[in-house]
Amino acid sequence: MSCMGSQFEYPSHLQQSYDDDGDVKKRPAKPLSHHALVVLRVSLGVALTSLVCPVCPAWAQGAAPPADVTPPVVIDHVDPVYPASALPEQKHADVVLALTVDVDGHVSKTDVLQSGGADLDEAAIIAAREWTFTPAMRGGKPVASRIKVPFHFAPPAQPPEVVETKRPADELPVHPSVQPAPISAPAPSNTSALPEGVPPPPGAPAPAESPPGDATGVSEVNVRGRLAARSHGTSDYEMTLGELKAIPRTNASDALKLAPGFLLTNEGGSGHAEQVFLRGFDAHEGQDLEFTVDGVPLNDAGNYHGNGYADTHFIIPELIHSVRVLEGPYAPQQGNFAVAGSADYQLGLDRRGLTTEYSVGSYGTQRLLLLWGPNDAPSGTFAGAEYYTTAGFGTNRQAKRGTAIGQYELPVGQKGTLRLNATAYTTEYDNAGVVREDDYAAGKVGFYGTEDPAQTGNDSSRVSLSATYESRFNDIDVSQQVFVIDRTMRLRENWTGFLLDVQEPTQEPHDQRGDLIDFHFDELTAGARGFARWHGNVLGLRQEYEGGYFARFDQTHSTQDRVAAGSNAPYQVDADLASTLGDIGLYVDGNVHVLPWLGLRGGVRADMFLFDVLNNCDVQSVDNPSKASPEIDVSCLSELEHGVYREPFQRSTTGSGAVMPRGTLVVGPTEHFEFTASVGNGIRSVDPSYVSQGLATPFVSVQSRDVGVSYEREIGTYASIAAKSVFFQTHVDEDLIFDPTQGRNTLAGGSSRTGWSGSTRVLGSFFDVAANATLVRAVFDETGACAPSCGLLVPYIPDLVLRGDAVLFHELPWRFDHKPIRATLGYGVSYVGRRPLPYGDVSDVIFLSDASLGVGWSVWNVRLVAQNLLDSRYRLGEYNYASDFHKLLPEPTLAPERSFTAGAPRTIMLSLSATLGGA
Amino acid sequence: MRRRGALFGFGMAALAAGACNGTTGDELIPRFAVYAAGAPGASEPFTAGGFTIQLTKAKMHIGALYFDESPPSTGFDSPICIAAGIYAAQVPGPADVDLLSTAPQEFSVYGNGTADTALSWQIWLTDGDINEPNTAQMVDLEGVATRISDGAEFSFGAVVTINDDNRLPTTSDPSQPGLNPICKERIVQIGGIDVAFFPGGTLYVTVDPRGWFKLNLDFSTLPLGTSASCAGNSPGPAYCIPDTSFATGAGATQGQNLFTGILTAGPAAYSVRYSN
Repeated sequence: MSCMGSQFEYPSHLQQSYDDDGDVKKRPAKPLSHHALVVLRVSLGVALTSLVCPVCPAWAQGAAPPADVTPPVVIDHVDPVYPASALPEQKHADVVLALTVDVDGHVSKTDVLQSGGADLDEAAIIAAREWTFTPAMRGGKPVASRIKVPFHFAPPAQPPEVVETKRPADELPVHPSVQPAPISAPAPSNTSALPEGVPPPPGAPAPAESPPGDATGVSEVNVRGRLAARSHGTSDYEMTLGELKAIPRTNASDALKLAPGFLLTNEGGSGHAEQVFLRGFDAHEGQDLEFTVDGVPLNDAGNYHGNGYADTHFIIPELIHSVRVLEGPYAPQQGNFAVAGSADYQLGLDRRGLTTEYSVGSYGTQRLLLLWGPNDAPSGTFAGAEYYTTAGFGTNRQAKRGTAIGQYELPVGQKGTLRLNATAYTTEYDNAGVVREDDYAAGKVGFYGTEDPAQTGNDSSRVSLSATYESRFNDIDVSQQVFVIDRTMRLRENWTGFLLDVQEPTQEPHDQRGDLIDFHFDELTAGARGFARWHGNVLGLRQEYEGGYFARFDQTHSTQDRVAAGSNAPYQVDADLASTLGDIGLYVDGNVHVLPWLGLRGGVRADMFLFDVLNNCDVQSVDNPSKASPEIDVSCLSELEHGVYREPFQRSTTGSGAVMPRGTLVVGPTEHFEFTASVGNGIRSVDPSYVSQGLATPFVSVQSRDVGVSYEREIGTYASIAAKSVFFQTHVDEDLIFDPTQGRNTLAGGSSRTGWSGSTRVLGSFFDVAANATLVRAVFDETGACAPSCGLLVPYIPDLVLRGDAVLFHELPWRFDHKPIRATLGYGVSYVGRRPLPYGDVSDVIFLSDASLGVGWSVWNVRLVAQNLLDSRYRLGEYNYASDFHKLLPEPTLAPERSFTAGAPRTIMLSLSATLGGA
Repeated sequence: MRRRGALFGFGMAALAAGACNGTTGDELIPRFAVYAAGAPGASEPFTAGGFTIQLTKAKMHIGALYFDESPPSTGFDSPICIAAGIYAAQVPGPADVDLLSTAPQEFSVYGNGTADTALSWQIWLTDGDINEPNTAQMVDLEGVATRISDGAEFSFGAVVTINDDNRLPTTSDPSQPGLNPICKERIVQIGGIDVAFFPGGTLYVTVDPRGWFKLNLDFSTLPLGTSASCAGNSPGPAYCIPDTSFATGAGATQGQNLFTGILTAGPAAYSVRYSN
């Protein structure tokens, strides 16, 4: 790369020349002029489409491009000119642009991703528009693409001393690194493309390399990034949050709403996992959705409260770079719990420097957030810490939590990357639980009240360590990850009041002591996953083949007791299960191109499960108990019929495997469309209590299929649009339905879901708009062992979910202290249609809107956020079941009654943040 | 393109319509009115155990009613008190019923339930917590019994309370101290019904006290109304049926016979219908 202007200073050895006698001589420096010294650095974090195409096919959104895609290559470039208006300030600043390279190789659109001020922005834009490229290619055809390019501006240095030389300057040797060689365009982040040493496309010289900070202006081309998955159809959503981060999100689960069909409720308090509804599935607290964070599993295995329970509250929302949601079990990489689909959070911090944010708002809520991203490190290197506390709205809703996440990404060798992550999280919170409709109507309990104030003392914690290594060896990309996770949780819930403590013969006479559940869970998990992906040319087309594995081992212990009202003393053991669980999975996944427009992606996965369950309380009732040595008021008995002695525990072991074919047919892209058809089988393991009850096969199976179309295009130079439409159908052979009487999901019969989902996102230079909708019908099977629910609707599943988000962002026409002021306005709406409830009833609809307003100047940022802007009073969860809280009537209520959990009222939060040291 | 668009729209509309159709089961019935009354002819003389009995007062306190979708053989023999199965309907509030009147007497609370069919039901003889001591009179009877053989008349009174000290049988099994809880003595369980609940209906309960006398009562052995055994009765009748199942001396078994008759009369004393 050439550098213009007299500020360019040759390294000392270039300033030297040698006469015929070998004496060192100096060459004249160029005269001073007001030209910028610009170093083009193409470094980690560069994305092919980066933040501006979040609803594009997965490959285009910071994921690895498909095998038949090559990025654009710089042919010619122009250095920006340091503007005179910035000289008085002697401004140093980085400007990051997103360039849209059209099919002709010209820059058709520029977007400022990081501003260095209006004048520097303009200088960078003017220069970037003069660049020319060899366009990106897909399947041999040129396609439009986006790249992210940083420009560093530094004020001109003092002119060097002019000395005489004997040899003409044009005869001086020129170091190869300052040769104005064409630069290979930066590879996307999260890609496996073009690590160092890979020959660039024909016609382009090899990219030059120089150490960081080299003042020669030679470009560095570092193409290390994350290996990412291949798209598996239209139901595959890779969502980079981008500007939509402005939409208020209280936790990481909210980011899932960018994909269609998600409904999140929470009846258990701020630290309780969200109840997730997706594609007609009540994934309850994560049981039907495989959650991972950069591949590290989130779902608890062997959690008696909910097998697959996934607490995402430890994820600091500001550290979410993107979320990949694959709805349906169509990728061989998806494992246990991927019944409705899977969600993988990818962490990263684009905003470099040290950020401190303090938020204060409604209900005594305070939040302190610290984020740090070193300037000279990729977005995958960061540290974050959060402290959050709230008194909560209404009764029994206080919560506090602390989180710390650190991640370090470092190069290994020439082509490898090692990413180390450590996470620690803990929370303590109260739980309001359900409110009976009749108690509320009679004024016995407030809408935001609680039936049982004793639902306090809940907690959850997580500590995890992971290491991920990725590299390329010739034509094979490899990835290897190991992880260790320690999880604990305590949950205190009372769904039924005083209903279930019936008199048993072996108990002293008693009345109803209360149904408060005190549940505790410990889990230690160790595991690994890895794959090797080969890519090459067959039949003149790029082909890929991947083989991978997953291994996970868990030591878990679940206990659940019933606690007496008033005394808070446990009086009965419901469950005491110690389990060793194993899950080994292997898969093969191909990406076969039969024709440039016809491809087949998929393969087969096999999983082997091992359940070794020690039930420490196997005998809880016995007929004809021993009269000689009676066990009175003992939960876990040590006798069989007629007093025959036995230990109270029982061990059960089962192992079983499943083979799951999965595949996607891809037609396209043609013009702006791509068509896919996917089929796949999945599994969900059951909780250990069923194994201890003699269930031989410890998992349930799911079969799914969908057809869809995706569309994307540029609208001139103004905006880009992406849209998807998918019809789907899924059958599960044993569904899990929430039973409020037990406070957990229990096995029900087989069921099917049929539906449609659609999404669209339009991104422009000053706006980002996304919308999605899902229609679904979920019914129990009509044949087989379906009684008593044959053909009935599955309760709690919303038939219609709509979501819309819009963000406006732009610099304001005013400046302060010569620095621009940037404003962001965000608005989001959610609509949830009526949900079928047990006993032929339906819930109310839910309509909510959220808004935010943010203003940034220099290092400062102020943001005002309102959730439930209209202060709607709504019932987040509604249930019909029997409970008795002794509030209204002297006698118990044994027939089903309506109960609900209240949604949060309007919540206002004001945040002030400062980012120091970001360049 | 237009045809494809129309097909797409039709498919979406069909899916939307299908998504809304269907049910999760029988619907909730948020409330229905409940009435109780005596049976026709209960105020007329009737014959039982060699006596002609003319009731002059018959009142019953009903604490609650529960209707179970399960048949009566499920769980009724256990001490659980809340029988197994799903409850189709309930009336969780009291009524004091004049059993000599056929006029409908409304309960103090509405009933509620689901549009299901009940195969058994329970009458709770409670006034508050079913496990707690309670001195409320569940039954209050007065009348005249005339021995058919010789025409001897015995005016009598009877009150029934249900507590540990007067109704709870002692257990001889130390390994099952909870085998006979007091709650079990306060629940009248009746099977043999087939009552379908639906929105907009009304529940009618009929209690015929004549059915309580199936276990023959020998009124000639009753203690005097002025004796200590009749301390809880209203003054007036010459004799009383003791308010205990464990009396000794005069009328020792009559108290138990009456109480057993109340608990086990079944359809002979208790009937229910649900109609518009």
